Amino acid sequence: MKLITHNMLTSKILKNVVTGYPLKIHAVKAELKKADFQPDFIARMIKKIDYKTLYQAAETLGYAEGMPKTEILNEEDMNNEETLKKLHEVLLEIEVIEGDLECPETGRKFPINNGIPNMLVNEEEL
Amino acid sequence: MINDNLYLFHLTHDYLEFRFPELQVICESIGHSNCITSHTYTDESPLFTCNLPSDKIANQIGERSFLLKSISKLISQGNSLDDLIANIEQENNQMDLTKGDTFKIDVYSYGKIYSQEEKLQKIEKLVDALKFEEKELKVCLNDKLVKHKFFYAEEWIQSDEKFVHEFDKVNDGTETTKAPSTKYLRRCYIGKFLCNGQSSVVFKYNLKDRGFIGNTSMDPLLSLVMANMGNVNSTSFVYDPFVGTGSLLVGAAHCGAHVAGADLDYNLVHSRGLSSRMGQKYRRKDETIRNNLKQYGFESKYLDILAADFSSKYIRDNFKFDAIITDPPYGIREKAKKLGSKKQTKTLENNDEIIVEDDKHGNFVKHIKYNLGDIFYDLLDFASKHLVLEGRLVFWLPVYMEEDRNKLSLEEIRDILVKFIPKHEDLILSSFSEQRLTKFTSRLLVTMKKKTDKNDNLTNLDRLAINDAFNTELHQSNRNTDILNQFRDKYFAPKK
Repeated sequence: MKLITHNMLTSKILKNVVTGYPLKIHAVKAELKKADFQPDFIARMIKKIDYKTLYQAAETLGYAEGMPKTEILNEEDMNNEETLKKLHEVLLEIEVIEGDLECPETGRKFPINNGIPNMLVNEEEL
Repeated sequence: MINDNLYLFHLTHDYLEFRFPELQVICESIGHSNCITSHTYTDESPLFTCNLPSDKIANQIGERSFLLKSISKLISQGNSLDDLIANIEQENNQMDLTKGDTFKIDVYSYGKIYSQEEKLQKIEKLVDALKFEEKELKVCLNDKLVKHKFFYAEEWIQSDEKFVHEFDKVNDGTETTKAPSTKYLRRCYIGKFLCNGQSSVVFKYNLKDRGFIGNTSMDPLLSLVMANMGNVNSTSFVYDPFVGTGSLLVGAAHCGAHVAGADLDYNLVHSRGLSSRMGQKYRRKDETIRNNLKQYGFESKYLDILAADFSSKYIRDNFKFDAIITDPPYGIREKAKKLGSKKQTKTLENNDEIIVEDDKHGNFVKHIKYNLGDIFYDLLDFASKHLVLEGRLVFWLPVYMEEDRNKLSLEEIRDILVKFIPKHEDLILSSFSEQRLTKFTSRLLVTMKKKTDKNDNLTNLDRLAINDAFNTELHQSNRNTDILNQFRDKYFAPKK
């Protein structure tokens, strides 16, 4: 699971959960897998992501160094090549291979195996 | 007189219904939405002429269309070769020839086969008429080395006016065999070759050579066309909520998009279980969507695949994709299902199946049959929530049409088909194309564009844009699932 995916996932599927966002990451195994850097895609993506959540997620995994420390990115950061490269790494290159995602409200854990998060829930939880 | 900016399009003669909508979407995406008009286009022929603002625009279309073979700049046309020759203007500056240049003339005939001898006779006539010898031009048959390539094309059309669909002839026992109709030469064209289309790209994506496939893997060409319908480019984030083996993601990644998807089937996303490949019982560990993309050099475009149930809200409300491209399960080859709860399962009828699967952690997950109509309305809701403005939803919709097509005009058929398409107040219908499957069943490739956000008010401009019959009925758009729910019942009903 890449952090771009973590940024969009919620546990709102669960009964009685109000926002279910952001999910807490518990990583047992994480890897850095190189991907081609495409500045125009990253520039477009960072307008869609929740930056605060991304920063926290990167911090949990130990990759936050070099990221702008703000709640929301400003225009200048969005046009800075170095920043875009760092965000590319954080969004697309860090992958949680084994671990789980935890619902912030109920503590329910969604396992990540082989890099694939399992968001399926049982009928009692719906 | 030939217009300076007239171009000859040579299309593939497959997937007829998809050709024109694909070209229109491409023109729209390069900012020339009105440049391709339909007055010379018909599904009957792979050739048509069209005015374009410049060679540059023609090249841009050539770079993107998967149903296009080539574009040539038209030099002359006529009702016969002689007529065409008489129409050649000698002062044609388009040709741009210099003494000693090399040339080649390709002869193509639609609807008729010529021997090499006959082709040569035509070429000789054209060389004379174009005065290539006077201009001291030399023949060169090597496609790569030749300087000027010319394209001569003939269009032979059935004289029988009504275009009868192949399926009607084959499947309908009541249809009397028509006498073989004679063909006539409708038009001849000569043009100077300008660029190739992308029709040969598809060979790269042959399913036989793909690592991971399933029962419902999409035809590679259609997955490419779907990416075009989704107006996908290198900055796009494309999502497929019913990802299956990821065949639609391959098309989107080819067009430059970053891709992600989800599927309810835990075993499928984890490459477990039975294989769809002949002679292979179980799926290999490396049969994954990621490896499919890697095989074509698109691993950098792969974001993630999730195990998730489409009917549950696992994506935060304000997260937006640039395009949603998907092929929802109709319950014919792959079951349409979702997670069930006790309450729902109790109310199910006896014949509704409940599938119990063991997930990896020993939990039993109950799947209940997903009402077909609900799948599509849920998909529209999902798209209205998770698409950027102007973002597109591209999906297949199964249709069971009982009316006798032979008694209806093409427009009447389209009027019936459009009624099957579900509506949503935030989405407008951009286009739909029909692919016939059997005599009564077909599937529609539907493209919708997100026009408004629920919380925004419609601007007057948008109201003007929403003017056709489909889109004006939007306000009565309560879920009308019956028409869609019938599909499975009719499909599986005993045939008389």
